Amino acid sequence: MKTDPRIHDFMFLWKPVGGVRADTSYYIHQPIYYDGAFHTYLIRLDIRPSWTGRISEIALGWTGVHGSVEVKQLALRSATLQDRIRVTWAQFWIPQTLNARTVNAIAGPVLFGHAFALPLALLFLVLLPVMYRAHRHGLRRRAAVFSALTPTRVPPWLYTASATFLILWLLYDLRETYNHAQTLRSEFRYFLGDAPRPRHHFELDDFYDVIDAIQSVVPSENPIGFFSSRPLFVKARYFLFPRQVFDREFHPDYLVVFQDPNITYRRGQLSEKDMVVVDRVTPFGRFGEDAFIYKRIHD
Amino acid sequence: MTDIFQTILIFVGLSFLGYGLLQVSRSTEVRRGERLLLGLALSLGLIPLILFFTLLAGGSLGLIPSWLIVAGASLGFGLWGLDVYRSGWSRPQWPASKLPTLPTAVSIVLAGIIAVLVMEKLVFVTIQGFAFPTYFWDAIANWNYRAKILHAVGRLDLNPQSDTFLGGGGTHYPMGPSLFRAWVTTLMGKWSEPAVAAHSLVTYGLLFGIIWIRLSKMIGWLFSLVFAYLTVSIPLMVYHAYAGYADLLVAFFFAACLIYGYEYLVARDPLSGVVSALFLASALFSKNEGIVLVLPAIMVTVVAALWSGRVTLRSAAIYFGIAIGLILPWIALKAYFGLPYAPTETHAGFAFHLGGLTQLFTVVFLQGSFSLFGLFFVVTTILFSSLWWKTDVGFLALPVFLFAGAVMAVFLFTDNYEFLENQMTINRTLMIAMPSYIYLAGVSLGRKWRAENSPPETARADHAMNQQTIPPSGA
Repeated sequence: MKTDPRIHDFMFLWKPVGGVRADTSYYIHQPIYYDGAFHTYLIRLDIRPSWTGRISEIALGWTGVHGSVEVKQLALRSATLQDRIRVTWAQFWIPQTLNARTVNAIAGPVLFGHAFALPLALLFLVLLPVMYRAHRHGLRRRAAVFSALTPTRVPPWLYTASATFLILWLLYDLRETYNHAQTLRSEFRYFLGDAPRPRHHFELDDFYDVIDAIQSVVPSENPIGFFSSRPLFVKARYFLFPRQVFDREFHPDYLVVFQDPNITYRRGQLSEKDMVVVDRVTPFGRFGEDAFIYKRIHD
Repeated sequence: MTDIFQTILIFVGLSFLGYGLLQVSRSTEVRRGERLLLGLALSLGLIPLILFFTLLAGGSLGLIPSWLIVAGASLGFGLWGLDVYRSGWSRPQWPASKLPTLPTAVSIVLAGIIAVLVMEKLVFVTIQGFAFPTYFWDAIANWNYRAKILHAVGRLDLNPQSDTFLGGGGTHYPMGPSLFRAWVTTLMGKWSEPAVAAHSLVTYGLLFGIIWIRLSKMIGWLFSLVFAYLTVSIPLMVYHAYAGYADLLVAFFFAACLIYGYEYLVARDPLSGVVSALFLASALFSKNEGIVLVLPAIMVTVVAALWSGRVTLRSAAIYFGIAIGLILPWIALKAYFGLPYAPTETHAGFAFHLGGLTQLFTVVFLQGSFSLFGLFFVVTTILFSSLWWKTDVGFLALPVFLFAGAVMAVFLFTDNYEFLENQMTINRTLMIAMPSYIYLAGVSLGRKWRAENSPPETARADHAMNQQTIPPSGA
């Protein structure tokens, strides 16, 4: 499957026959690559109890607006041992590119169904007594690279243990480096350098370019009413400062609608959920498929 | 590109300016390169305080003219050049304890790997900081937004009904980070996103630099490089290096406060003591966690040091006189306007959430924010806890554990549990203690297994005393 930058998420959905409620559907969420290239996504369905029994419908779902998706092949099959290994490996390498929650918490890569830190920590704890015993049973010279070369009071097994810990930390860090590389790869493709306009930045889509467009076409002294079904008002207020920006208020002369399907324009009127909210407006500017600027008409 | 170049010039200038000011003290414990870093680090904390006093007195952000900074930086550069001319590039020999060195080939390979990984992080965060506008929520809603308002208004608005009251945004948050960012952009003459991002980037670099330099005196350059690397490679730390939040800043100020406070205890170096107090004041003016969590931890530690006779009452009084004296106007202002220390009043209420311990364990050990820090913590605590009980390293351990304990108490025994459950702040707050803990582990390593020919810790104080009596070679 290959996705463009306006696609942010991918889900596999199904509806079992004879479920608790007839209309209940279930889904598995699958993180995706943001690099515009084809990737094979392997999803284990048998880990969900709702997948057992008969299934009436299956579906693929994506989040994002006006995005494009190309699917070369879709296959449902019983998982072989090789498949299970491939799923584990593919799951481990799914990149955790930037998102708004990254600064609060990082889920981390997953290996064998657990955060990568856990298998590494367990491996260390398993190796610790092994290292200790190895040193105690006269294998000091062979096992402890450092201790043989550094005559100190530091117990030789501790040197080996420290070196092992550092190697595990480096491994984890290398995996993090891969995340950074994937983030940069996406950014260089869709935002930096000679990336085609409008530029896209992860879940913000072309928001930054929309803001630039507003700044260039709406006179700087005019306040703006900002409408979006996404929580972007605070961002708009920040980037448009010192211009006044009002959240979902219709009184300013200029009204910006960004990715808000509830706001529609028809014959000089703006409606919110089919109710006319501004009577006399004219389209003032358009940016892409889902960003519009309207100007109120005063006689 | 011009913005980035101007920003670099400002930070280099601040570094030399701070270097010049630190030359007032003849401390032998703080070396030349370290003084440059310290000059910059103290600028990050003290300039906002000076600006706050200026604004409170009715002045404007532009009151400190750029020519004054240029003149100060030039003077500092001159003093630095003079110092280099007098003593050359050679590094002084420290009699401190050192672990035995690894074979050269192993050292080179290890240092090479670490250097590459650190460089990767620096490149990543620099691109994120300089090539993109502010991205994360709190920076947009508070820290940088406030800076933008302060930059535009130029003065302190004390009208609580106004949108620009105390810079707008979250008015109950300390103003330090926003004031510094507003000031840098005022110096540049325009609002600049790269200049604002540089504040976090520089803090990240300083964290690495100061931990490396300080630990190298105790455990050698390579082992200290490993500990400095562990600090900056904590995954969450990397994103905070450009996020525009204040958590990294508090983490740095807290660590620096402990590093130099401990240095004062060990070497009786007055400059280190003063620097520690200044870093404490800086932490208090950066985030509410400073006053709520850092200050009590430091207070208990100083009382413990006082009780054990490690510091005199006079030293303790001077220490807190500097730190609390500098932050008092802000505390008074908050009290006057009734600004809370918790995000909202409801979060201050007591409640027991012992089930949160499982979540806390998950956050530290089973997620990706902290790499293998959980394991590192457990192993090093088992390894060094006896040392902390028996030696003065305990005075470094005590505030770290008090802080961590206070964090856990806040999340488990108050309604702030909500932020543990939704993981909005728990990771960032725990992150504040991590550089200090890693430094503590480094110091403990040096103390537990010092080389057989290295002198005891108390010899450092004697060495410092002797150094001060020997006139400089050029005199």
